[in-house]
Amino acid sequence: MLEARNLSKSFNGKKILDNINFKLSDGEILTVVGPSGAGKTTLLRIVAGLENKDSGQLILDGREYDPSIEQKVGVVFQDYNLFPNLSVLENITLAPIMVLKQSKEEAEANACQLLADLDMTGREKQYPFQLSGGQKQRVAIARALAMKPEILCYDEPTSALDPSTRDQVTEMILDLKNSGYTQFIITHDMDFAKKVSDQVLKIEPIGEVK
Amino acid sequence: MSLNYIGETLPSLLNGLLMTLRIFFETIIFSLPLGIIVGLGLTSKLKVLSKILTFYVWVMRGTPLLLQLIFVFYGFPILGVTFPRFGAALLAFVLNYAAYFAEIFRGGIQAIDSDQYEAAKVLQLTHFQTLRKIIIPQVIKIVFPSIGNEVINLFKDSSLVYVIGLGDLLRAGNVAMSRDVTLVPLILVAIIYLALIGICTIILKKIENHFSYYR
Repeated sequence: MLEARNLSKSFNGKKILDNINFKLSDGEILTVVGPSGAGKTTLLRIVAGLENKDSGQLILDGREYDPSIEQKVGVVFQDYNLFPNLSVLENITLAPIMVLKQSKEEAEANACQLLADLDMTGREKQYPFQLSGGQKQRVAIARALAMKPEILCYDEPTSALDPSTRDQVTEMILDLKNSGYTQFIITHDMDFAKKVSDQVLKIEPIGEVK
Repeated sequence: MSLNYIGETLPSLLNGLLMTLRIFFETIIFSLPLGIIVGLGLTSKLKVLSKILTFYVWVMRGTPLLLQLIFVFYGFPILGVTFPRFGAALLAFVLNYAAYFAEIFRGGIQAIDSDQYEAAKVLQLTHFQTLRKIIIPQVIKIVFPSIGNEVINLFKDSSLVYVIGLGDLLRAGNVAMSRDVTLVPLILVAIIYLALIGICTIILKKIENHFSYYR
């Protein structure tokens, strides 16, 4: 379980997040909604360790969690941020091989399984520029899952997709939930949030939680 | 332009060409890796390091290569450091070209979106792993055309070594021209430069195409 207690963050004296609290239980989906500029992405960046919090606590499974020391979170970025110089398979296996010290065979077997689960079999040797937005997103999800994170975070997973692909994302996220993954989703798409969420956290531009 | 004369002159020109090729290849072998390292240093957050390297690049790009050659070969002995002719030429060329390469690499490194570093960071790759597997391969693709341009310049710049008494291709042509009072050797020299740079251009294009496997 991931818990945030009174998280606050300012940039140049302007408060972006003010006393954010949430509890995300294992296997559940929490969506963070709010208009742009409300600090949703900042919240994700703090959870992912890309930004430091000013105050408050992050608690993972009962212990204070500092993502800069031990990374337990996987991130699917808004623009996916795949590595363009690496094939789909290499994108997924790079970190398991270099960080988790998996053998190449083991990492590739895992990657192929993840791709199969995400309906992406046969694209292992392609490069990101050859994929559609929805396909890139699946690769980004596989890449994050290959590191066996406790929580999978998404930044605006529906924003760059057309409506039909959006429904597929909804299904995919619910499938991942059924497989037991805990997911943390930033979105401004209320329809989508309603379909997938166990819990919705609304944040407002002034940083006040309603 | 008698064939006989060409036959007689060619061996000395080819001998000079060997020196040109030695300067060319050895400079590339040393200055490219040095350029990458200096280029990384130029983008370093360590202000002292990037300031020193910026100064080095300024000096190397701000003074003529000819001056640097003369300085290393004739100037250093006055300071008590003596280099053999070839060593002096190589040192001057490597330091000079590494500076140009470094600037090109700096631009390439800064062209990589910070998104790539963030993606690597959440995957827990170390900074060095990120550079090696993600940043540098992308930088090489970006900078390759500019590097190719400098490589072609280097081939011709190697003719400057005549000033410290090394016998390269151009010098061999010059000697034959003065001795025999004919333009033929210079024309031959020009043809050899053109032919080799033509080959070089084709090879560079091939390598550039190799990188087009991704966008």
